[in-house]
Amino acid sequence: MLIPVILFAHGVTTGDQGYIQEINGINFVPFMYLGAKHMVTGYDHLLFLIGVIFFLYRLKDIGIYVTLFAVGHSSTLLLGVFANIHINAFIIDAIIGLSVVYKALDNLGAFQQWFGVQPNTKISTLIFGLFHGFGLAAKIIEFEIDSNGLFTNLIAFNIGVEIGQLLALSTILILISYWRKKSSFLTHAYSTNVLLMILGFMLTGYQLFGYFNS
Amino acid sequence: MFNTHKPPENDLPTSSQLLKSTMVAICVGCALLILVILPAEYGTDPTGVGELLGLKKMGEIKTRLKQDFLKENQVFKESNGAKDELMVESETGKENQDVMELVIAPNEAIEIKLEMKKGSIAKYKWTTQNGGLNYNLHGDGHKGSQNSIVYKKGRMTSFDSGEFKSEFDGHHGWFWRNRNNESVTVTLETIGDYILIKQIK
Repeated sequence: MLIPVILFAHGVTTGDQGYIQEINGINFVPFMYLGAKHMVTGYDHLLFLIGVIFFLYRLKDIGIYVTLFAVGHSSTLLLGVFANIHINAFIIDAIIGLSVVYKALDNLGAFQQWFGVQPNTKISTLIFGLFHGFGLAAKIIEFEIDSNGLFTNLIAFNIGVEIGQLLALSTILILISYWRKKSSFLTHAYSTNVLLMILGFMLTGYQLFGYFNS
Repeated sequence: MFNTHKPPENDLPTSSQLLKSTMVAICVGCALLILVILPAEYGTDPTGVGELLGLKKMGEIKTRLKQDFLKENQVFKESNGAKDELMVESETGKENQDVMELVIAPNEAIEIKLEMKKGSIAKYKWTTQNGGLNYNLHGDGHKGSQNSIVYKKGRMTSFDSGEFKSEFDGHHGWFWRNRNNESVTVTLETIGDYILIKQIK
């Protein structure tokens, strides 16, 4: 006897999830595309990246930090899906919101003022990368990807995430670079990071509300 | 005030560098839009690259799913509130038995439903020829009812058998979608306490 699942809405699943549920086996480029799309349209990841590169202007530094972030989220993405570590998506997304708050405070020099120390920015980027990866894993588990060809598809998704990150980063970098040349950059750097912090708190609250209402 | 110092002016990119970067960004953005995004989201592929990458199929499937979704919503809205006529009064304890053979063209779907009363049990077996099918064994309540249930679903399957107990009065059965490039034939055998068997689409 089959055990049924009660559904709230009617049968058809649409969009990317609907597509994923219709396909089978290895689909390398489509999964790369989905990874890139998730990154480019994921405002939480983008806000964190803005925070990370806000005061970075040497390409070498940007490369180091972005690599750290990528290493972090790639490892937990794969780990999360394969070990089927299902951390509640609301909780993970709330932590991602807090990562934005943290980075904004860090940029403002708040930790130096409050605690007299500057926490290692590289290590914090890596650690928050780990959390962002669990967020990506939660997303993939929701997608219900077929187990046939899962590993290859996940690698493709991960490559896509990095490509998407590179694209988003380039755009952000060009915009910030224009601005950095103006004297208004330092004048408004403070308020901009406060704005970033507001958005971070907003995201956190939004996710927590979702958690307690689900 | 910040966790960093003001950068020296000559460390920053020059205006012409920035302008060049912006131009490159615009070109890359437009290229990606035409080569990748339009095929993957809308199935529109002016260059043929999307098809080469397997992204056009994604766009086509998503477009089709959206149409299906809107159509189902429309049907649901139209039927909402209307009373459903029970086709045939069932004699309890009487078992029906049917065998059906259906051909499903590539990318097409077929839905076969058993009209059942709550608590009735149906046994089934189906096999396919020429490829597997994506399926969804589910139930919908009578017109106007919000009842909906999924008993079982799977991808690229060529055989399934078992039995299910209907959770409410309504239509319970199979939705099959053929994602192969060839037509697939499915043979369905049913036996159980259902009122009638019919093809929905």
